[in-house]
Amino acid sequence: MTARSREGLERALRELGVHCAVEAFDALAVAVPEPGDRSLEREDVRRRALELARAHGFSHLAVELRKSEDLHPDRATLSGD
Amino acid sequence: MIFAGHYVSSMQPALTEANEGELREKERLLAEWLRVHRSVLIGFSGGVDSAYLACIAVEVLDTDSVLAVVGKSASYPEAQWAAARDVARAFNIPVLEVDTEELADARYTANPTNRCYFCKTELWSRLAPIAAARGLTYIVDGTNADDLSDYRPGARAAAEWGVLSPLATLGFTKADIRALSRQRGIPTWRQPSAPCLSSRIPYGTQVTSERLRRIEAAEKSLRDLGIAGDLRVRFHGDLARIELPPNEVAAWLSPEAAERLRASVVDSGFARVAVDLRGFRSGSLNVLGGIVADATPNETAA
Repeated sequence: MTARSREGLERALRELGVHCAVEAFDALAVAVPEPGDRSLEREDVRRRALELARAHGFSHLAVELRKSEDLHPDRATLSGD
Repeated sequence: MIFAGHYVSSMQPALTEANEGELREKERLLAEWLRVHRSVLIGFSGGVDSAYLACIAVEVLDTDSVLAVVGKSASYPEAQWAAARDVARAFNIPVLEVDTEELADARYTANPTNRCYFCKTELWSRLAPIAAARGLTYIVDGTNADDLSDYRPGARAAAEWGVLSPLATLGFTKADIRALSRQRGIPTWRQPSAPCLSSRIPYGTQVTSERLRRIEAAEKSLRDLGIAGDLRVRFHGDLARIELPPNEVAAWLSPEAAERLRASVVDSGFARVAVDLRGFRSGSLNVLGGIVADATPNETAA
């Protein structure tokens, strides 16, 4: 059985080009993308990310949907005017 | 696959010349089984299997010899109850609604891996006296042959209460039932499977009415966005993990679509929303809880 490593998965995802923090809920890993990161919209990246999650001991990988102001702080400021 | 505006799950619902004879024979055997058993109380969820069974039963037996009973509680989605009512009305199935109290049972709400055993024990213990009072000889359910290979602790409760499963006994698979339902015009043929709402909560996490209501509201809001296929909102505290039909995951990750998705689930009471990158998996929380191995390791991100 693969030892579960949140830090290892986070590092591997960054090497893949997915700029995110990873939170672990038992065997569920949740990628919390940095503002502007849209890498997981690409199918090849998602496929590889799922393989990495499994390799680091997670059965599930999800991506958190951030509030649009979180992803586009400039837009949030403008819309708040 | 979209058919007439409705999602069609990953199934082969149409009868072909090759399998039509085999399915007709199964249906003939089912009719015979029902005639031999004479009268039945059906545990009726309004789902694909029990709806088909009830439709055949009212065709074969007289109306006084069939009663379909729905066990209602907070773990039973309102939309499912509406669907059950519609099928019953359309096919003249005598139907009775009974409140069940599994949420009053601490053994159930503690959400152990055999949670379904306590739920089904509650259900069958309510239905058995009704069958006796109405002179219905047998209690039956819609368990099918595919279910026998799944992790189903509720089956033990059914056995303890003498519940029979003619569809499983006669070898009906889910695909068989969908195909035959389609041919008979039973609308549930294309209905996604709809297990109880508690199945969205990881084992060991308390089941409460408030959590079930939140999950139900979130799933309804996603349906209102037009997501028609297999979907689940999995409960992880303040985070909702959405399992979408695998072929729809990509479409919901674009910023505009993702914001619609997020906002609708947040409005249902979750603080955080995440999309599972693999999409819907039946028994997902059994895998997450280590109850069963992941059956499909070669995932395809879609």
